[in-house]
Amino acid sequence: MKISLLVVEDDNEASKIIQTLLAMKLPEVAVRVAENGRLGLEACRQQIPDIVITDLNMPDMDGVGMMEQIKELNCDTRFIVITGYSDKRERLDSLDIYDYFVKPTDFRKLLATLGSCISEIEATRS
Amino acid sequence: MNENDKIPVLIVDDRPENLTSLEALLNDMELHLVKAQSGNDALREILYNDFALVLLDVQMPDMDGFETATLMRENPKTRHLPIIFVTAGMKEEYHQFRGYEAGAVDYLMKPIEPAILRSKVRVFCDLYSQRLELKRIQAELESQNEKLRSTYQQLQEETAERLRAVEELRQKDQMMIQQSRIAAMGEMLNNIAHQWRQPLNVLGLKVQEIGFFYEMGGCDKDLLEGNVNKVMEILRHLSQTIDDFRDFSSPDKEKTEFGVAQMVAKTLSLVEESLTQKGIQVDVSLSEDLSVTGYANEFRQVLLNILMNAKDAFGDQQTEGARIEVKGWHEQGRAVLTITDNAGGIQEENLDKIFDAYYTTKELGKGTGIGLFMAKNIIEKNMGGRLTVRNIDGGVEFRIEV
Repeated sequence: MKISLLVVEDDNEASKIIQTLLAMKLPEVAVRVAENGRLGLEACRQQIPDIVITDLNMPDMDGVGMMEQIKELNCDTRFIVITGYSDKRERLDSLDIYDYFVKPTDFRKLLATLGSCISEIEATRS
Repeated sequence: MNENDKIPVLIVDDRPENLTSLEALLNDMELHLVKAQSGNDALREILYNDFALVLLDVQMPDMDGFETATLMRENPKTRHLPIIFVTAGMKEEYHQFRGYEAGAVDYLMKPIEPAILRSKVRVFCDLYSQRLELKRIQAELESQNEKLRSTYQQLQEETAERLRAVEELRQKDQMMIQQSRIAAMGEMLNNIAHQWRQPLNVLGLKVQEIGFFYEMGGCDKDLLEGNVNKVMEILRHLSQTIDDFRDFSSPDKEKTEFGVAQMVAKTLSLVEESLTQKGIQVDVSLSEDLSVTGYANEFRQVLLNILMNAKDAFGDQQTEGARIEVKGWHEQGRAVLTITDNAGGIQEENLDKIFDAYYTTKELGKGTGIGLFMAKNIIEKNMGGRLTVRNIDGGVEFRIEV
C-alpha cells in the first residue's frame, strides 16, 4: 500500500511548489492537499493519511486545532509542522509532533525527515 | 485710664517736698509719675523703665543734676531721653549752658510757672506718644513685612512645586508618547513580519525548485524563466510593502481629498496577514465615490488603530467566525465609516473611558492606552469630524463621521 501524505497549507503558491517537488522526489507517495484546518480534518475523516504536513496559522481552524481533532480519530498519523511562527511551540507539546520546521522551508531537510518517517512507517507495516 | 496706659515721667529731686509739689502741679495730666530722690535712683529707674521725660533737679547732694544728665547721655539706651532741668538757684547763663551741654532740652527756673511747666511736659508727652505710636506702626509694618516675606516664600515654594509637577507630567507624557511610538513600531514590525513570512517562504521554495529540477535533469528555459519572473514579482511585492509601511508612518503636510475605499484597502493591505493568521475575516462594503478631505496618513492611522483594537479584542486564540466589517456611505453631506467586530463588545462602564489617554484594559506591555486617544484627536481636532463607539449585538461599532 502506498504511503499517503496530506499537505495542509493556506498559501496556494507554496502548496503548489511543495506538491511539484514531492511528486518529483517522492513519486511513490500519494499526496493530497487541503488549504485550511477544517478542510484538512475533512480529508482525514474521508481517509486517514500516514503523514500530515501542516502549517499552524490558517484561517478557519488552525493547525493545532486540526491536529487535536485528527488525534481523536484514533490514528497513528505522524505530524510534521511547518510554520512561520515559533511562538506556538508549547501548544504542540501534547501533540507528539514528528518534526518541526520554521519557514522559509528548507526542502532538503523536509525530504530527509520524510525519508526517515516513511522508513519507520514501512518498518511497522512489515 | 490704666496705670500702664499713662505716660511715664520721672521726677528727680532730693527733697520730698519738691517732689510732692511737682506731683501736685502735674497731677491731673494723666501721667504716671515716678519719683527719684537722687541721681543714682534716677539712673537706676531709667535703666529699667521707659520714660517720656525726666524733670531733673540740678542741686542734689552726691551727684548733681548735670552729672546725672551726663551719665544718662553716655548710655546709648537713654541717650535720647528728654531732660528738663528744674532749679531754684544757678540762674546764671553759664549754668544754663552747662545744662544744655549735659543734654538738657530745657531749663526751668523756680518759682515754676505751672502753665509753662505743664505745656512743656505736654509737648514731650505728646512726642513720647507719637514715638510709641511710631514704634507700634513700625512693629506692625515689620510683622506685615515678615508675613509678606513668608507668604512670598511660600508662593515661591508652591510655584517651584507646581513647576516640578508640571515638569514631571511633561516627562511622563514624553515617556508615554515614546512608549506608544515604540509600541506602534513593534506593531508595524509585527505586521511586516506577517506580510513577509509567506512570500519569503515561496521565494525560498522557488529558488530550491530550480536546484531540484536541475538535479533531475528537468531544468529547462521555461522553468528558469518562470521561476525568475516569480521571484522578481515577489521581490517587488516585498519592496512595495516596505514603501507602504514607510508612507504610513510619515506625517501629512497638508490636507488632501482622498478616496475612503482606497485608504481602507491600503490599510488592510498592511494588516491583512495578521488578521488572517488569527482567522479573522474582513468584509468591506464602501461606496466607491466616498471621499474625505483631510490628512490621509493620519486617517489611515485611525483605521489601523481601530482595526488593531478589534483584532486584539478577539484575544490570542482563533475565534470561530471572527469577523470585522467595514462599511461606508454618504449621509447628509458627510462621509460615514463604521468598523464593526463581533468580539463580544465592551463593558458599558468602560465605554466612556475608551478614548481617554492611557486608558487600557490590555495586559501590561500590550497596550499603551494611546491609540484610540490619538485616533479621536485626529478625527475630531485635526479633521473636524466625530469618532464614536457603541456596543452592538455581539460586538463593538466604531463610527467615523467626517
